[in-house]
Amino acid sequence: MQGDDLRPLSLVKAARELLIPGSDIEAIERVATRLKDVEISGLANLKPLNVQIIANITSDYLCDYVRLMFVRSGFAATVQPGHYGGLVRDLLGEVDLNASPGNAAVVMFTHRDIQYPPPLGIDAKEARELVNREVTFWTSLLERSKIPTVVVSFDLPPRRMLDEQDGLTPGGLGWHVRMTNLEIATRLSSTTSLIDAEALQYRVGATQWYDERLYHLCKQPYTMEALPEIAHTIVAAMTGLLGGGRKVLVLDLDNTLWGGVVGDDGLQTLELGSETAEGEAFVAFQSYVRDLSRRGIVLAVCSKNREEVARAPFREHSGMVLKEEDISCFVANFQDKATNLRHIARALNLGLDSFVFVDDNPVERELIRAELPEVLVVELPDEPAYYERAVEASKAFPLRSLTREDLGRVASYRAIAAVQEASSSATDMDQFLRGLSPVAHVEKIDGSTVDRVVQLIRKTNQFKLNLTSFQEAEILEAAGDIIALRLVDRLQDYGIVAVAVAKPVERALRILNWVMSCRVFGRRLENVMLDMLCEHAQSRQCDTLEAGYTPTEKNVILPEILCRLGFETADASDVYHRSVHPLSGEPHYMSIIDRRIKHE
Amino acid sequence: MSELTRAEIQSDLQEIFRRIFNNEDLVLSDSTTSAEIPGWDSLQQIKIILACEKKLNIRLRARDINALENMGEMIDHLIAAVNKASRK
Repeated sequence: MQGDDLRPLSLVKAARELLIPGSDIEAIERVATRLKDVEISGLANLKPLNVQIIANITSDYLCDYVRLMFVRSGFAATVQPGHYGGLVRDLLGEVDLNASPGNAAVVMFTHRDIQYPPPLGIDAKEARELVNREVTFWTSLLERSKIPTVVVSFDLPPRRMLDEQDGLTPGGLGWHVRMTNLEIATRLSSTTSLIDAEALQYRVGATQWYDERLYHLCKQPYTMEALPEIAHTIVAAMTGLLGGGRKVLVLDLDNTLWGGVVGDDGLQTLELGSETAEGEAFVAFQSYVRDLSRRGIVLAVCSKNREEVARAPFREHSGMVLKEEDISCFVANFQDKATNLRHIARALNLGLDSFVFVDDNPVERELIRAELPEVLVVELPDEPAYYERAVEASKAFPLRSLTREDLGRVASYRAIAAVQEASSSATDMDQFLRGLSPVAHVEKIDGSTVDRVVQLIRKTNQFKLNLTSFQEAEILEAAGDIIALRLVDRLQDYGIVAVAVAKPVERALRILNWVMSCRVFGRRLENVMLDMLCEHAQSRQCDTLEAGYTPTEKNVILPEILCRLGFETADASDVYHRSVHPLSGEPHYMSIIDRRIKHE
Repeated sequence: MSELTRAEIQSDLQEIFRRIFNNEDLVLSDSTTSAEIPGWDSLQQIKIILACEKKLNIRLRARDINALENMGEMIDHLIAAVNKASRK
C-alpha cells in the first residue's frame, strides 16, 4: 500500500490538468475511470456533494465523466447512476428530493421519453393541446424536487416523419419537442436549471450524438465520444446553480487582445481592425469579451508592460472595442503574473477560484496553473479567430437567469477597486464614507425582488450566518420577516446586497440567516441592518436578537463582526445574542429610504 | 491492411483491459473468462469492444458483442472482423 495515500491527490491534480476541450478522450477516460476507485472527499478544498442521476437511460458511463468534471469545478461528488427506466418512478419518490444540504439531482430527458407524441395528421390545435399535456406531466414531476436540480431537456429525435417540416410545424415530433422544452423553461423553480439539449446536440454534432447500436445494446443513446461534453455541460449548469460560477476574466494584452507587441512595435503597427484578417479576429474577440462584461463578468487586465504603454491602445487606437472603463482592475508591470493575480483578487475582494485567465503565452499559462491551481486557465489556440470558442468552451461562466444585479455588477466592481484605493489612502475613513453619499433602500419583497434575494442568500459565502437557504415561495411567504437592503452611492447602484430573514420566537427575534455581499464590505451596511433588525424585533414585541452561526470554511469573519455589532455568545457556543438596545452606534452616514411603505 | 497476428491482437486487448479495469498487472490468456476478472460485467464488455473497434478500425455487429464468452472467442471474432475489413 506504499504511496497509495498520495494517489487520490495526484488524481485530483491530473483531473485539473486535463484540457477540456483539448485532451483526447482516452486520456480523459483514464482519469475518469481511476477517480471512480478513490476517496477524494476532503482533499484539495473539494466541497462534498451527492448527485443522483434520474433518467430512463443507462447513465453509468456518463457518471464517471460527471464525477471528473465536478472535481474540476471544485466538488468531491458521489454520482449515483439512475435506475434504468426509473425516470418517472424516481421523480415520484423513489429518490429523496427533499431539501437537504449537499444533495443535488440531474434529470435527463431524451426524445424517447416523450409521453404524448403527435399522431400523424393531427391539426395545429390538437398538437398544441398535446404539448400542454406533455408540459404539465413533466413539470408536475419536476416540481417535486426541492434540491438543486439540473434538467437536460428533450433532444431532437432523429426520425422526422414530416421531413423538413417536422421541427417547424405543429404535428411534427421535432416541433412538439421544441415547444415542450420552451414551455418547461418558463415553469422552473429557482433551484432548477434547464439545459438546452438541442444546443448541446449541435455542439456535439449529430453523428456523435445518437448511437442506435449502443442504445440497443445497453440503453445509452449517445456515443461514448459525446459523454465528456454532456458531462461538462451538466456540471457547469450545476456549478452555476450552486453559486460556484466564475466571475472574473483576466486578460493579457499583447497577442491576446491585439496582434503584436505594443511596447516593441508601437501603436500603429498593431493588428487590430478590419484592415487584416487577423486584425478583424482580435476585434471580434474584444467584442465577445465586452459582451461578457455587459452580462456581469468582471474584466481585469494583467500585462507585462509599462502602464502608460499598456493603456495607450485603449486611449488612442481606433480599432479597440474595449475601453478603459470596461476594465475593473488594470495591472501592467513586470512582476510575475501569479503575484499580480493575487493583487487583483485583493483589489476586487474576490477569491482566485472565481478567476479565469486568458493569455496567449503558454509559459504564463503554465506558471498560473502551477502557482494558482484554483484559477481556470484557458488553453488558447494559436489562431486568434478561435479565442472566443476556447473561452466559451471552458464553460466558466454559467448563467441561470440574468438578473438586474448581473447587469450592474461590473460598475460595482469598478467602484470596489476605487473604494479599495481610496480607503487605503484616505486618512479619515469616516470622511471617506460620508463622501460617498450612501443611501440604503429597504426593499419590498415581491415578484421583482424575490429572485435576487434567493440568489444572494445562495451565492454569498463570506458574510453568511449559516447554510440555510430558501425557496422563492418561502421568501414570498415570509416577506414581512425579511429585510433586504439595496445600497446606492454617488458612484453607483449596487442593487440588493444584504438580506436578513428573522422570525420572532417568543421574546426573541431569531435571525434564520443573514447575508451581505462582499462587494459592500467596509461600508458599514451591517450596522444599518442591525438597526433594522432591532426595529423589526421591537415591532414584533421581542427584546433580544438571536443569531445561529454555523462555521464554514468561508464565513470565518462573522464571529468578529457579530461581536463588533454587540452580539455575545455564552460558552463559545455558536448562538449569538444581543439586546435590541442600544442601536449600533457606529456612524454609517447612510440615509434610509423605506420602499416597503406605500406612498400615497 | 497487413494481416494481424493473434499475438498482436492479444497484446492490444491486454492493454485495453488494463486501461478499462485500471489494473496494470492484468495478464490475459485464451481461456480467460469474464468470471475471472472482477468488474467484467456487460457494461465493461461494451467498453472493451468499443475500444477494440477503435484500436483495430473495425465495426462489430451488436449480436456478436454479446455472444463473446471468453478471450479466445473474442480474439477469433476480432481477427475475422479485421480480415473482413481488409478484404473490402
